[in-house]
Amino acid sequence: MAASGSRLTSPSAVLEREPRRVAGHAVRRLGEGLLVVGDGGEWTTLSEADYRRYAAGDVRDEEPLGAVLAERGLLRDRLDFARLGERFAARRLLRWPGPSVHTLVVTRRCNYKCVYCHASVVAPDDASTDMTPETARAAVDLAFESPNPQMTIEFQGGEPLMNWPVVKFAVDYARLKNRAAGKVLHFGLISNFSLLDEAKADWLIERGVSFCTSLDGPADLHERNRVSLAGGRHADAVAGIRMILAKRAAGAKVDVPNAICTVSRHSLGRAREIVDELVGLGLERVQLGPLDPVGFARRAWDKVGYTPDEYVRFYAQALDHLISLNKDGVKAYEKTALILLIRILEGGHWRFPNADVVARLAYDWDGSVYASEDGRLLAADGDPFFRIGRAGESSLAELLDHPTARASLYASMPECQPMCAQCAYAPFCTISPTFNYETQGAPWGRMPDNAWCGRIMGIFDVLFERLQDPQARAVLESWLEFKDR
Amino acid sequence: MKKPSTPARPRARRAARPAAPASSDEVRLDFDPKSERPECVLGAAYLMIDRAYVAIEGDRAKTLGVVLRPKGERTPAALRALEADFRAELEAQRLRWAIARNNQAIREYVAANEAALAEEFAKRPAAGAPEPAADQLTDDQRAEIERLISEVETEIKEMNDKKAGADPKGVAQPWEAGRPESGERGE
Repeated sequence: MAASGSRLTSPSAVLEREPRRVAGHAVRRLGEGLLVVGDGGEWTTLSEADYRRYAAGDVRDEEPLGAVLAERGLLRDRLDFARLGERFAARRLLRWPGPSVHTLVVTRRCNYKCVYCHASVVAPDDASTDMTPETARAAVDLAFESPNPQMTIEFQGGEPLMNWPVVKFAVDYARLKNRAAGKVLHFGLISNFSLLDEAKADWLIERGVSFCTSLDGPADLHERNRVSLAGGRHADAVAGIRMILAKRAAGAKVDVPNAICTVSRHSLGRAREIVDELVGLGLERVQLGPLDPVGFARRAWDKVGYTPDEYVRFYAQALDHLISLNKDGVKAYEKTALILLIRILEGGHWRFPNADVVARLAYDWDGSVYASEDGRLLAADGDPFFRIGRAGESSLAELLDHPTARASLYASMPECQPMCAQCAYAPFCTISPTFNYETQGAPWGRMPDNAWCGRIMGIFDVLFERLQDPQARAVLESWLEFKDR
Repeated sequence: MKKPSTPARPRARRAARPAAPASSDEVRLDFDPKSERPECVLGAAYLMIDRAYVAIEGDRAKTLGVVLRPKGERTPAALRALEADFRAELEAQRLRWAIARNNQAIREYVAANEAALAEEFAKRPAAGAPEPAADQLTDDQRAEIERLISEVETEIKEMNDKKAGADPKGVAQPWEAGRPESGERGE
């Protein structure tokens, strides 16, 4: 049996005896070399021989390598403390303006019954989980308490168009409130598009709502994952996308719609086809959402699940194909890659997608507010652990000061986790307390055998390897232009 | 407590040796905390939990015992590989913790600067206009809100009244009532 190292990997070197030249950093094997990441998140790659010289304090300022190490914040006698402070302030939320995305689950009803559905839906004729106008009003009022000058209200379900009157009410009510608040207000509709007709689309577009749907790839794959009572699941999604794109082409002020591809076991061998399907429709964003063994998907895991390594192989194939298409002139990007590249290449920490309470609050149909969207789904499955309050009863300050919100945030920061604190990817990574809680029994998690960690580290490996190739790097850097969309 | 049968160990740095007769399906190593830093041993032990059950034993002032029991096969070759893994992790932990020690003062200085930045930021007024209280809404705004609520309530009532009516896509059909004719299901 061969020895195999931990996920951190185990580079070795002899460190200088007196602290003189080597700044705080983490190191990781990457291909034939080593990735060296400074405390501020600036990085470089070195050969093993160069790393040993660096660790021993033997690289001189006059060498080209010395200049690179100094510029990346890796030499302790050449540190730029102002820049380090700025980077840490951003990463550790010291200039946090409050949550900006507010997800309203206006109903749990859905006319689909996807094999992995996270959303814990109820049957289409069961209106007992429809959000009332009063609850929608309380949720919007609570959302407006956030001092963040940017605000997005997102409608989810279930299928949100099954409670169309409350979608309309919440949009109009928020627009009315915003006359006084003066925020930059966006709306998003996440729908399977089966109930989206011209009239609804026009109403939504007129009020600046953007559109997102689910599209798992070619028709046979999509329909294998997504079961509906009425058929036409792939056709509905494609028709909706085309309708929005046609209106945009005709001059309507609406964003290019997005489509989330949920990756099931059936997707694994079909990365290129999936990318071609999404890009071929004219979409700019490819989002390859992995399945987690949580909620409904946990029960179907033996049929639809996969290992982190299998997902990473799929992801690498899809990313490489997308990079190749970009080289041929296509302008489209992958969403997870973009989020991570903003951190890797610009030092920005756009938001914490997995510590949702920082950027996002999830409001269930009954007004219950959760520290994360996954926490809401967990509650729908019977465990309200991540519930932090209720619209109409709790203030925003009370929500954010809730012990669960604080624990979630603390558990999501790599600096606070053993193993993560030593990981080269720590400055770019966040941890999912909900995933940890569901799969390992506590928000804290155990990273050495944590599947989320295995997957995200694999994605980081793929991205850093591609960044070594100048042509691929040029494509990845070009995706940064999409960051404000 | 160190077991009586354990022979006295030399205090040479990084000494590690079997502390007591290990069972045939586990690896057992003892470290002298005076020559091997506990944080390195604990760090390496933590990294092993994906492939082994790990127990830390002993009086930490005198000895630090690590017992590794593989989660997979427990052949002699597997045990040797597990021990090799642990020693490689321990070597890497020595480097990682030494870097941390050497830079602790700088990290504390940067953290103090961060705290100062945070205080400065907290003193600034929040961006964007403040949320108006209900009593600050104009009469027109209040009337418009009432109109919106009235409209949505009427629409919901009409929708519910029509529930038994047209349903071209069959979305209101309960799950139990039937399946699409194609009969295709995800799994």
